[in-house]
Amino acid sequence: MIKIYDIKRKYRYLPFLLPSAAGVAVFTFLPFADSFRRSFCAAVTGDFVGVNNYKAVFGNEAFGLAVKNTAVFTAVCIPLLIGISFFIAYGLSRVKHIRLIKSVLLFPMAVPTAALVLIWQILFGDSGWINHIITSHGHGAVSFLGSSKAFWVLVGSYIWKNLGYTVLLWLTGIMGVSTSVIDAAKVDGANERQVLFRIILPELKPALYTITIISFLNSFKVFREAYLVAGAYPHKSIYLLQHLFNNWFVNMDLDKMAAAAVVVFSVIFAAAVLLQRVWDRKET
Amino acid sequence: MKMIMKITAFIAALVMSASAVSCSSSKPAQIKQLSAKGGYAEKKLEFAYGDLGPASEFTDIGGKVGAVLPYTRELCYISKDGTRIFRDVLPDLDEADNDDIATIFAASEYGYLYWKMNSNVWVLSPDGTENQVSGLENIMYAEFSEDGRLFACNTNGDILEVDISTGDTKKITGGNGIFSTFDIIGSNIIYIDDDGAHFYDIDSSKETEVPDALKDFLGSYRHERLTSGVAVDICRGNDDDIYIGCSDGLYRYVMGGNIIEQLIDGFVSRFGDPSDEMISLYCGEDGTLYASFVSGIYSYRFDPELETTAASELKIYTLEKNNTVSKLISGFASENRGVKVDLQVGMKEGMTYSDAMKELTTQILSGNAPDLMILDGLDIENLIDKNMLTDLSENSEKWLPENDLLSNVVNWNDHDGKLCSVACRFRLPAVGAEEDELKKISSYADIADLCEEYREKYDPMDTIMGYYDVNDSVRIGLIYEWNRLFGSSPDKEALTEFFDSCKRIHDAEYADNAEASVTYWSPDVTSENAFSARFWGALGYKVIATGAVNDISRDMSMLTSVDESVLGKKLSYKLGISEDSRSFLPVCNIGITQSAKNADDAYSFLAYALNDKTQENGNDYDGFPVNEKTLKKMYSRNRNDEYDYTTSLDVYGDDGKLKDTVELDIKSMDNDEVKAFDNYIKSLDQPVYIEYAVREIAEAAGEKCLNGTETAEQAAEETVKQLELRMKE
Amino acid sequence: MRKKSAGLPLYIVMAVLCTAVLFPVILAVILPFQAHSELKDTLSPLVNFTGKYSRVDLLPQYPSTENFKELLVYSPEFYRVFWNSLLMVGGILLFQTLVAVPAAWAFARAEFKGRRLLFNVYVIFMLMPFQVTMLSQYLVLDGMGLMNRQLAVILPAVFSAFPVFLIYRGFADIPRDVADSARIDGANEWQVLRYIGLPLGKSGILACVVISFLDLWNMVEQPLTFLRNKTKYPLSLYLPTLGADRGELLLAAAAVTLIPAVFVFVIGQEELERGIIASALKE
Repeated sequence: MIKIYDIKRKYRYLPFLLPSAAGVAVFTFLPFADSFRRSFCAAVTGDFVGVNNYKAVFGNEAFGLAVKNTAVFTAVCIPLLIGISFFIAYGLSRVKHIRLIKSVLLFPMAVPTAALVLIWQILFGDSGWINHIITSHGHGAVSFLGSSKAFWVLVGSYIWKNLGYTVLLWLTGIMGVSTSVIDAAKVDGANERQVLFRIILPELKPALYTITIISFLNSFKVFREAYLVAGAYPHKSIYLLQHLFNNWFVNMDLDKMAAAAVVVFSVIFAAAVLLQRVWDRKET
Repeated sequence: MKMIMKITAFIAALVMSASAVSCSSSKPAQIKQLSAKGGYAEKKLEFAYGDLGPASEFTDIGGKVGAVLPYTRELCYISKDGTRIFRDVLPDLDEADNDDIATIFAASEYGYLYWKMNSNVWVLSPDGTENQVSGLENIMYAEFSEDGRLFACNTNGDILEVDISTGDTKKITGGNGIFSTFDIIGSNIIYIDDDGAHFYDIDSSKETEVPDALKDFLGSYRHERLTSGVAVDICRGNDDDIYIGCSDGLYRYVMGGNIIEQLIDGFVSRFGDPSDEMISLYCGEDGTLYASFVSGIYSYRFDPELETTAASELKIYTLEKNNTVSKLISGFASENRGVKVDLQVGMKEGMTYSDAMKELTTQILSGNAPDLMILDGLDIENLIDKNMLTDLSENSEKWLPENDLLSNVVNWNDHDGKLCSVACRFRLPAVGAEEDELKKISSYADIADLCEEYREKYDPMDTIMGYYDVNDSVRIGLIYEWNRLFGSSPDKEALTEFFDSCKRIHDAEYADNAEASVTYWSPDVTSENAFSARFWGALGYKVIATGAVNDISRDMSMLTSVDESVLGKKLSYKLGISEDSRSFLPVCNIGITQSAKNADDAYSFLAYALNDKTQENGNDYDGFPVNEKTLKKMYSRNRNDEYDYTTSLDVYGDDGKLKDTVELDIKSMDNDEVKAFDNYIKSLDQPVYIEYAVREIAEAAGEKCLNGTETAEQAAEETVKQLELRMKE
Repeated sequence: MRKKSAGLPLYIVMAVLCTAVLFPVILAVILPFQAHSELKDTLSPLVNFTGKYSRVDLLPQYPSTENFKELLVYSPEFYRVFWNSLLMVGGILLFQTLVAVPAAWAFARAEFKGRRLLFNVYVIFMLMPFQVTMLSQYLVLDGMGLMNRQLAVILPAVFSAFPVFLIYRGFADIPRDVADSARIDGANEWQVLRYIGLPLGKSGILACVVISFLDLWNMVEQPLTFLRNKTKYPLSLYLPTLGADRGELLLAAAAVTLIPAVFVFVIGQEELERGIIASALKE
């Protein structure tokens, strides 16, 4: 009796999952499998070449540069974003007029990329407004977009755009901490800091997980802005993985694209699994 | 607050759906394509020799339908059986003419309207009185209505009614911009201006509604979107329908309906052939269609057994559209009616190079690779690396013509015997200036020096370089310096010097906003190939001619005949920029893909492109032929002085007014000149192949240098960095 | 809700922050209201530098709606692309939610082996940037005959892993016993989802819809790669075709694009707000 019940339990959720899983299988998994197959073949003719493509990719200078830049960008942006947004969220949780400020912070997400790019050009371009202000005070014009400063412009753009939603997520988490527990702690004599570190932070772990994942996802989206502002071959410091993939596509280097795709996937997979292990261990 | 929000949202939703509704309600016109069987066969009517350019449109005079030729005052009319053209002199026109009628705009039983040389527009009424027409300067078209009223339009977009007996005009309505069509069907004047298609009813004197289907279709043939003369002609059919002829073919529209039926595909017929020009259409009583082209009069009869589906299909890919390719294709198609040629242009309107390449890649991978590729602009090395192109040397018997080819030009891309692309034509970079100055020029920087010198000495308002575009100094400079700049790897110093020269030339040329009042040879000649036009300009102004030379009959003849400018200085030119340069620009590079489904037709196309007849029929600006038989023929024409022509040059004084018109005799090259030229082209060994992607990068950086955002060195650095990054990928 | 009135410094910090964040947005909204002559000073140095830098007038000196007129009246393509965007985004959102909600529920509630693995796979696929599998996706879609049809953009987005991930978060917070007690009372899983899951996870679902909308409204890569006809382009693709040389039109179009997005999240905000309060009062 229990066995049947168990079996039924396992498959109970199948119909729930099926449409989504089927769709993901067709539109995400299948293309990836094709990429996987392609990574072992020549670009156009399709002849089998073993691991040649992987060798080519690992030895490719541009790939190294792109990986480095993307990694650095991610390592800089995500902690920055998470940290800044947390402080803001914490501050907001003790302030009135939350709704207004939240709306303000969310606004940047709504601005379309093309318009944003124009605004960045107006502000940061070599002949832009900020340079206007700088030169009228006697200093030389600064090339924001054509030098390594472009990296920071991009970081700033990323944080500006994603601040709103991240703050929102933090807030949801912070507000979700039950007041009764906090009040009880206060009664016991805990001060603000202790409340923050001992009670609130631990409860925020799931929120942190979500925020990290989403920030990571959005850090890839920054490619669009970089591409529209600086073109296919931008300054070294903002040359990202997607630039490389884009250019490989244009030049029909599909074999390298496929091999690199598999490499990127494996790295992210390994990282995610690792993260999960660390998480779980902490939780128990 | 919430209520307000909700209400606003509701209203916004209404507005949005309103826009949606308005969008979807207008159903686009359906264009019915050709069916598989049954089509129109073209036949040229005998004795209808061209040039019918100045002739009138089809008209019916006394039951005889045809066109009126000005020079001979004849009506060339169609025989009753529709196979020949007869000619009759028109007595009243003959009397009125003093050998000065140049173009006949309208002719009918109710009179004539024509243009006389040096004295503008005149009308001739049926009773023989001739009157000058007032108010029709800049006339574009004129036509008689069925009841004898005469209407005309000019380049300002005015439509006027002309009184045939007095020559007075009265403006009845106006359009916007230059018309690309002006025809009278029934009681409606159909015209297309910048705003699209219009119907004007002459009986009620007001505009009437254009059927939606027609509006969309005709609207796409506005004048600004065309490259040549008469775009569209419309004639009335026999069943309450109209026939529309344009470069995309011949179409039929039944009034009041929603379908525009394509009868003839312009692409594989005379209608789309860029070397000919349609003048007018006529529908005979038996349903046969007649069309007059500059080259003659043709009839089109429906043949239900005519196979319009081709036995095979040939897919051709080209990166950018140009007339050379179009002409090759329509020529090939007309000789091989069993092959359906499908031309795919990579960089269609608005597309960037990288988008085009991505599209090509996805096409190839999904199994729709083109059979034949016109490789101009593409990264040929990359395509060869990816094994995309077949080695043509292995099947040379399939495409090599019987005659010899200039192998140094054709096989410029030979990799140790592996030949994946062949050039069908070529151009020669050249420099022209006053003789003493020309001697000093051996690099682009020297040209910059000379340009600055000229600007200092001479009138700031005159053009020196004769550019078509502000950024031409970069684009044209590249054809001289390409190999030096990009040879094996990008050379930063050379690039710095190059951009510096470009900037100096640019500044000298546009100092004080000098107007580029340059002679346009033809709208099909791009700026970098307009050397001859600039050399022509050098006759009248202080001009340094830059660019490439394209052909023998016009360009070389002129270059070798003209050596003295109107201003008395001796002019000279040199092919290549320095004494030892033997560079050439290979044009129309053709390759056949490995995965071509129709390799056989691809080979015949290549053979067609290289055979002597085709090479002979190239347009003036296509580039020099590579077929030796063709070259020999051209040389002999030179010897027979067949390329002599006389032309006049307007000389303007300092006040900008016409000072004088000088007649110049252009003589074909003489024996020595021909020999020198032939030796030169046989010695060419420095191909300059310009890759679109690299050129784009250089021009973008160059533009920044020209407009001052970057210095030459910065621009060079940027270019080098980008190219190095590109190479690393 | 405990809202301690925090000190003034905190307010000032917030105010500065908001201004900094809003500044570019204000620019994007105000600039299109400037007349051509004013905008010229701002835009032309970007295209043709002649020594003058870009000047920005924060308050239009002669406000005019000529840019909007040019966009809305003289550019008929605008309505078409606007409608395309509405259609595509609306369609995607609707089906996306329908597909993702059950899937997220399954992940939150089920306990089968490999659940973690499958979920991880979902997450990782979600993270892959588009460029990486762009070509293969193209081939799959082409194989299905969907090329150059709006379905080619709609279908992959409907089955995206992103909404599943977001909504899962919302469902994961629901205490297990609440749902289990409903089951014991005899409800089948669908009813549990409908009567317990949906109300409690509403904030998560709504957050997902809002974020998805903003994301889809501005999507560029997929339509660019999979759609050929300009007439099928969404609004987000219309903008990049106008560059700095037609900057006035671009800014006006951008301002108009902003409007629906603002609507969505302002309205969504209310619900989100309520969701947050509800979860806080859960105890």
